Amino acid sequence: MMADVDRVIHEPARLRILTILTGVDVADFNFLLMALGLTKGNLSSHMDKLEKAGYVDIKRASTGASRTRNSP
Amino acid sequence: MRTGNDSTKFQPGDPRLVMRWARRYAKSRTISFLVQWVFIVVMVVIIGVAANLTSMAYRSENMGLFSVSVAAMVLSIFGLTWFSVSPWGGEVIYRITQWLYGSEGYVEYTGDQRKGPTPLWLTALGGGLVIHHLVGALLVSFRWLSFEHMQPFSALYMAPFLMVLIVYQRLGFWAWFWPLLYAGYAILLMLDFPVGFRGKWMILNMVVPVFACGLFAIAIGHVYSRWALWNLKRVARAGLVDGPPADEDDQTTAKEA
Repeated sequence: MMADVDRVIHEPARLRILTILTGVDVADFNFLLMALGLTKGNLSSHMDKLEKAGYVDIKRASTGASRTRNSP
Repeated sequence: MRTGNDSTKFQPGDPRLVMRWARRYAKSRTISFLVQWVFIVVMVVIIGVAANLTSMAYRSENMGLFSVSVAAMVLSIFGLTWFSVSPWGGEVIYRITQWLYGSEGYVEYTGDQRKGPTPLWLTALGGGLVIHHLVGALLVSFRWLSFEHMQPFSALYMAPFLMVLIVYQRLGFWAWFWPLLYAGYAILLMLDFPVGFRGKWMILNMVVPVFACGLFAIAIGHVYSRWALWNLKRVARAGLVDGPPADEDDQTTAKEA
C-alpha cells in the first residue's frame, strides 16, 4: 500500500503539481499547464492519478475547463 | 507541509520555492482589480458628468436636460451598486479576467480562513466608510470643514479601512501602495505642499488620489506578477522532462543531474 502511495506522489511531475497546489487555494488546468510546461495529455494523466489517489479534488466545468485544489 | 516564513531563504531546488512563487504569483494577479477599477471609474465619470449636467440644467431651468441627467445619474448609481453586489458582476469580472490572462489560466490564494460569506464586522466597516464620507459631505456643506480638507478627512477612515481589507484578503505587498499613497497625499495637503487641485478643480483632490493610487498599486502588482511567474516557471520546470502521456508506467522523469 505504502509503495503505491509513494509511486503516485514521488513521480517528479506529480510532486511538482502537488507542490504548486500546496501554495495556492485553487488552480485551473491551464495554469498548471503553463507553469509546468507539460503536454495536455501528460498533465491530464497525472491529474487523473492524483485524483484517484485522493490527493486532489478536481471540479470539471461545463466549458471543459477544470479547477483543482489539494484535498484537505 | 511547513512552507516557512515568506522571507526564509531556501536552497536552490527546494520544493518550497515552487510553493512560494506560486503563492506570490497568485497574490499579485491584479487584472481582476484593473477590470473593477475601469468599471468603477467609468461609472464615477458618468455620475460626475450627469451631476454636473443636472446642476447646469437646474440653473438654466432646462427641464428636459435636467430630467435626462437625473435619470442618467440614478441609472449609473443603480448600475454601480448592482454590479458590485450581484453574482453577475463577479462572473463578468471573472470572464474578462480569464480572457485577459489567456493561457496563464486561473489561480487563487486567499488563505483557508477566508472562505464563506463576508463577515458582519467587515460589512459594518464598509458601511462606516459610507457614513464617514456622508458626515464629511455634511460638514463641508455646513462649512464646518473646508473642501480642501475633505481628502485628508476621507483618508482618516479610508486608509485604515483599505489596510484591514488588504490583511483580510491576504493581498500581496503591492496593495499597500494604495492606502499608504492615499494617506501620504492627505499629509502633503495638510502640510500645504502644492500637490492639490485648486479652484473649480478642487473636487479632483478626492477623485484623483483614490483612483490614481489604486491604479499605481495595481500596476505594481501586475509587474511583480510577471517576475513571480518567470520565477515560478523556472523553479517548477527545473529538471522536469515532459515525456509522452503517462500510463501505468510513469514516463515523466527527472533529468539526470
